[in-house]
This record gives sequence, C-alpha cells and structure tokens, in this order.
Amino acid sequence: MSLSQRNPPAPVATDSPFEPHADARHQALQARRVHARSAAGAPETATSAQALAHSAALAPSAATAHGTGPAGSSSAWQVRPQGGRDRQLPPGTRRILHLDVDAFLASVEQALHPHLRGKPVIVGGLPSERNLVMSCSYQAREFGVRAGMRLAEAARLCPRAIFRRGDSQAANRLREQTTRILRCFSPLVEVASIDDFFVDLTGTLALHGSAFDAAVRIRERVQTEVRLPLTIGIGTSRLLARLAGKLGKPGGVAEVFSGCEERFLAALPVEHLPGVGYKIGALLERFQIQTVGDLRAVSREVLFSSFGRLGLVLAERARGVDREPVQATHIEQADGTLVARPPGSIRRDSTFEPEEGRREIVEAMLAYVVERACHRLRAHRSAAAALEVRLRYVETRTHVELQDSRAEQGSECSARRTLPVPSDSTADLVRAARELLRSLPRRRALVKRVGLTLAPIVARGGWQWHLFDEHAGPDEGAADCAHGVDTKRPSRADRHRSLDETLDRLRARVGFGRILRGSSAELARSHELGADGFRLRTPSLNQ
Amino acid sequence: MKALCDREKLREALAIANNVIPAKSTKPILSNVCLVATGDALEVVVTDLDAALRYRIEDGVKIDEPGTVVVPGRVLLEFVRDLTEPTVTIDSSDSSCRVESGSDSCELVVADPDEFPVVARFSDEGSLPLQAGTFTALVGKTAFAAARDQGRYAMHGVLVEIEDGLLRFVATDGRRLALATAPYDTTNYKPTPAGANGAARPTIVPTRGMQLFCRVLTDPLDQVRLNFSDNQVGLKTKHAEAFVRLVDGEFPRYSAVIPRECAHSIEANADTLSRKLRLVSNVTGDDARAVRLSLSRDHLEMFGQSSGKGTAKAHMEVAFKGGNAEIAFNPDYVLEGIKNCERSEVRLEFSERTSPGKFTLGENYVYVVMPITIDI
Repeated sequence: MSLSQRNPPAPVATDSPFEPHADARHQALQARRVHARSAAGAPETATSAQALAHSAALAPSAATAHGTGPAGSSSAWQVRPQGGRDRQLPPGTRRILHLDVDAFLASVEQALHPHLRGKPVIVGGLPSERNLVMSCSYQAREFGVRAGMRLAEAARLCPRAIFRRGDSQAANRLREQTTRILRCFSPLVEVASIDDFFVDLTGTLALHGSAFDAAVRIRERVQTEVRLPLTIGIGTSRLLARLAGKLGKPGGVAEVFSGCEERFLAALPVEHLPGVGYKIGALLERFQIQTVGDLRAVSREVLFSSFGRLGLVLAERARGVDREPVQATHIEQADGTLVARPPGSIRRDSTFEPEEGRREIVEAMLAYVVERACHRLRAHRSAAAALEVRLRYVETRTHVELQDSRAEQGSECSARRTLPVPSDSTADLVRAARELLRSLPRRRALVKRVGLTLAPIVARGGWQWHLFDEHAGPDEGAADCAHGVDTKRPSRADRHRSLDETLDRLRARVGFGRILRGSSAELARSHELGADGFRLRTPSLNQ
Repeated sequence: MKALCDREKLREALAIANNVIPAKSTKPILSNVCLVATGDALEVVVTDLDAALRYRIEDGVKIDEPGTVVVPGRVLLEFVRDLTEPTVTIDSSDSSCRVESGSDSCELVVADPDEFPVVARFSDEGSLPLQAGTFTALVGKTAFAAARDQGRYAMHGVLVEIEDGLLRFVATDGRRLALATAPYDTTNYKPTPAGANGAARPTIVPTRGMQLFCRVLTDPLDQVRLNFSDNQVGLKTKHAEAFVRLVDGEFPRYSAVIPRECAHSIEANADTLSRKLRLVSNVTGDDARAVRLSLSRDHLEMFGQSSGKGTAKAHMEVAFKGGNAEIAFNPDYVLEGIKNCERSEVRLEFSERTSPGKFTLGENYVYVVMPITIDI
C-alpha cells in the first residue's frame, strides 16, 4: 500500500508554502513521522515526495515533478526546458542542494550485498561485542534501533537484524562514485562529511531545468548506479537546503521556495537549527522558545548576552542568513582521478575494547593512529603545523566525587603542541605525539580511548635535502675514507623521508596493513591485522 | 687615571667594543668597558668570556695620569656618540669617572678593576702572518653559509684549515656548503709547539668571532697575524687584538659531499642568472620556497609558484652539457652564493634531483647546495 493511499495528499498549496490555517510546526513534525512510516515498507520515493508536499513549506509540485522524471535514463547534461518555478526566480538566485545518504554505512552494506536489501542491517560489529551501533538501516529503525545504541541492546530489540562490521574502504569508493555523479551536474560539489554533500546549482536552469528536477534526476542516478538512497534538500542557502533535507528523510526531495524562507523557518522546531543542541535547546525551552520564529523574536543583544558569540550565529540562522558558499572539495586531475582538497584538520581516535592498562599498547595505538593520519596527510601533499593528543581513562570516581567541583580533572585529558616547522613525517609526528602522551597526567585507571588531531593543516613546502647526517659520529665514514672512498650517508631526516615515500607507494599497492612499523608492532598481539590495517573498534575511522 | 682623547677615535673604539659587550649576562661586570691608560695610549678592553677585544688608541691621546677604570660600556658609548666637541677628557677617581667634552659632562659609576676578567696579550710566537684583505674575502665568501639557528653545534662557525700551501675556509648549515681557498706560503709559518696542536688540526671559528675580526680589519692592505691555540684564536692588527673561543665540536666530513663527477652541467652569466632567479623567486612563498630549474639543450627554464601568490617563469640561454634534467633549489641559497661570484660566468653541475648541486663561483671557490623536492 502506498503512502499516498494511507495518507491522502494534502490540498495542493498555492503560492504560499503554508496552509494559512494549519499549525505548520505540527505539520513538520507529522511529516517526519510519516517518513519514518514510509521507510517501513519499500520506501517509495514518489510517496515520500508527496508526503513532503503534504508537509509545510515544501514544493507543491514535488509529486508531479518527481513523477515525470525518467528514472536514471537521462544524461546529466541534457537540456531540460521545463524550469518549473525556478524560471520565475530572479537570475542569480542561489540554488543549493544538500544531499544526505540515508543510513550511510548500512546502505553501503546493502549496496554491496544485494541479499541484505530490505532487511534490518546493523553496522558496528557483532552483538557479542561491547561496541555501539554505528549505523542501522531504516528496516532496523522500525524496531527502535538507533545509532549510538549498544549492539547487545540492538540485538534484543531486533533479533532478526543482520550485524555487519562495516567496510570503510567500500564506503570511500561509493562516496567517490557519488561525488563523480554530482560533478556531472555542477563543478561546485562539497563533500561535507562521510555521508552528506552540498551541490551549488546556481545558474544551471538552462542546462538542468529546475533544481527540483535536477535533484530528482541526481537521486535516481545515484540510486541506479551506486545503489545508495539519497535524501535531497533544496534551498537558497546551505542552511535552508540542510533543513529542507531533514524534512525529506528518508529518500525524499524537499524544497524551500525562494522568498518563503522566513515563513518556513518560523514554523520549524527550534532544535532543528544547527547549533541548538541539548543544552541550548533546554535553555530555550525554559524561555518558551519552541520554534525558530520564537527565536527570531528575541533580539540579538539578548541572545549575545545569553549565549555569547553563538547567540549571534543563532540570530543569523533564525533569520535564514547563511552566506557561506559551497566549496568544491575535489579537483579532477588530468588523468581523470579525483583528488580531494586538503582538509582543515585530521582527527583519529581509537577506543580500546576491552579497556587497556598496558602503557606500551596505548603508545603503540597512538603511533598507529599517527601513522594513519600521516598517511592521509601525505596523500593530500600537506603538512601539520600542530598536533593534539587526547587520552580518555575509564571513570573510576564515584558520583559524589564527580559532583565535587573541586575534582581535579575529568577522565579525559589532552595536550597540544605547535611544531617548530610543519611536518608530514611519520617519525617526527610519532615522536611529538609520544612526548605529548607522556606529558599527560597519569591516572591509576584503564585507558578507554586514545586520539590525535592534526590541525591546522598547511600546504607542504618542498623537501629540503640535507648534506650531512646530523647524528653521525665524527669517525663515521673514516674507515671508507682510509680505503680511498669518501662516502656520504644521508641525514636521518632524509632517510625517514625516503622511508615514508616508499611505504606510501608500497601500501598503495599491497594494502596498509601488509607493512607494520616497529612503533605499532605491539598492537599485533591484541588486535587483528588485515590487509587494510588493524581492525579497530570503530572501523569507519580506519582510514 | 686622567686622559684626553680624540672624540672620533674613542667613539670608533667603543663602537667596535660594543659588538663584544653582552646584551644580557649573569656577570654584570661584563657589561662594562675597561679603559687602561698607559704611557702613550688608551686601551679599550671588553670581553664576554667567549670573545675579547683590546683596542688601542694611540693617535690623539694625551695621558696625564696612567691608570685603569671600569665603567658601563653602553652608557659611555651613547654619551660619546652624541658629543660635538673634538676631544673628550676622562678623569677617574676611586668612586666615579667623569667624562667631559666642552660644556657637556657625565659622572659614571665605576666598578672594581680587579673584578674585570683578565684579557690575555697576543703572542706573536707561532702566529700566522696574513693580509687583511685575504682574510676578509675568505670570510665573506663562506661565513654566510654557516648555521644560524639550527643544525649541529659545530656548524655554527667557519672551519679554517691550513695545509699544503693553502688556507681553506669552509662553512655549512647542513643544506649548503661554501668552500673558499687562498694560496698561502706556509714555508715561513712555524706554529709554536703548543700551537702545533691547534693550527695543524681543523679549527672552527664561530661566525660571531669572524664578524668581530672583520669589524676590526679596516684596511685590506694591512698585515695581520692570526694565532691559533687549543681553545681560542687570536687576531692582531695595528690597533687591536681580538680573541675568540673556538667552537668545540667535530666539523662534518665536508669533502664527501662535494660532487666530483656530474651528469649535467651548465654555464650561465652570473648577473642574468641571479636577476632571473630573483624574478621567479618573488612568487614563491613560505609554503614552498623553491625554484625549479629545467634544463634542455642550451636552454634553462626557471619556474616558481606558491598557492597564495601565483606562478612565474623565466628563460635564459646557457652553455649546456649532459641530458635534459630538472632540479629545484631554495632561491635564497643560490642567490646568496651567486652574490659572491668572482667571475662573470657561474657553473652549475649536478647529477640527480636529490643529489647536491655544485656551483663553481671562482677559481678557488665552490658552493654546494642541496636541492628541494617539490610537488609541482
């Protein structure tokens, strides 16, 4: 039974995105519930689109537009004369798409293994392990399973679920394929996180028709070619596109009309706004601020005095102001390969399961995450100007002790250092990270997690080669000299540079885990080693 | 002590002495200058325990009463610098020192002369006679390549070697190396038995000491004497004696890094090469301070780029040997070397992108620069 049969379509909206008499907030919330239900069965994209049209502030023509799109058959560059409402927009009006892969890691598993499609899939590990649910398919969500839940609890809620560890390499591959498809529509494609993208379609009306039509075609192409389900939000800014997308989940295409942004936002629950989390949400609730419209009524001064600079950001967002452009994150090389632009920071964390008490294992794990991060750093031809090491202990203090404000420090501690010169050398960064780790306060508790952040990332300058080995003894080479051979031994830094380059090349051929550095070799005792490296508790971070 | 001195001569002596007075020291006495009035001259003595200077003013000095006084060095220099009258009178008692010039005067606090460290006298025995111009030329060709803020401690100076009728100066910071030699007649050079150990073995003079020596050497035609002992080197000119503590360390084995046979070689006009390099280096930034040199037959292309500034290219005709090749250098290193080029033509030889490039800048002057590997 299709959703449209269960929920009769709402009266088609006029130019106004709202029904004047309806409680828009209630509708928005209801729309979300409708989607959750629609995902229970086969998620019919048309029904989702209709549901969106049914909800507040969404394209009244959504269902029609969607229904007419020939699924996956059209070329991306085919000229589409029908521009819909977009034709009436002033030239230069921003058309931003936000694309979100529904239940990304679970969808990757379903894309790779057809027999998993339509079944409850939970990614994170086996239920016997003490890991958390990283992602779960919408079929699993029907049973109440959520990301972040313990696997054992997920297994209890959904006994028929299929548990997978996740495949980060495949996820990367599918993400790149999706990026390639998106780049057929616009050069301005930003991969914002592991599972969401922004595309700027401004000025492409003659080429692709309306943004809504283009979004529908994108969704169909990605569904057909990559087999990943997408939810797409369309708006005049990144903020609005993202908010529209939230209402379109799962699998829908939602659009906020240009000119109707304020009215759309006014009806939205305030917690939908990026930056409003649990704490701020609770505080706003105390002030009876429930919708973005309520928040907009509060002056900037009051928000600033209450929340500091974040208050000003919230004031802007409540007014729908977001001028941040979509920045292309990938560059296509002459040989057709896609190269990602260097990130602003690289963060790697690894959790111990069970918690670890041996210092050498903790240091080996830190060395391993540094090596991983450096590998990525060099792939981007970048260098790190500073690094931060984080360590989390198991909380051993009692509830009362924790309540005591005089408690010395939390279970998590970190230390940061700026390097004398930006570096991409594994040896340098492992040494610096180890020194930072040793400088952290020691507690008589097991270590839960160790992590590293390299930031800021700067462009790598050239590598200046050295004349001498700085650590060579004065008599080194004297023996050769006595035999008439004057030898030159490269410097330590040069040797490590060559080693890094050689290892990177080898690992690209045979897999990261095929070669181990001595600094992380200790881990082999406690962790399973595969071609892609050690199997860590959170495989998605195993990049 | 009471002495009358020519203002300009005193100012000059104090200005040179100012290079030795430490800016900060745990021994406050070292911030003072010791003025010694002898029968016919006024001596200005300063030391920071690593370097010492004894500057003798003979002309324009009249000693009324010999003696020694220790006064704050920088204060005296600042005072003398702004005086206008041609002469200065220094008159000291046990508790103060009065410096007077025309109607201007100042009363300086004095320190106990016994507390001032003893600065040795230069011994001519076993010393090395040398023309001032030769010394300053060798320092100018090499000292710029010495390490400044990083690298091995022994690299923070210039290696001086005397052997086989050659005086050889070498300096390196680990990335480039400058080697200059001058013919030197060692037949009359007889190091003292104590100095035999010093002069015969490689001696590393700190860069700061070399700069002090060059400040002292004003006339290139002067004959000066150098005396190496186990832990210090002394230089004597007509007016001054300067001493510098040697760098205690092992200089790297530099002979191994100077390429002997190279696959590629170019000969280019030094002025044109340096002008074009400067031109291209303008666009290189801090992220990649490198200029790529691409060689093809009789043609050299220079290319530089940085993410924040853009790209630049320059071409020039060169005499060429070997095959097509590419190498990149830090343009600052190359330009600093070419600046001292003695000839109109500079020769560059190298083998690979990662092996050193050898610049021949004169008959007895070699400059070796390690390349940079860049991602462009």
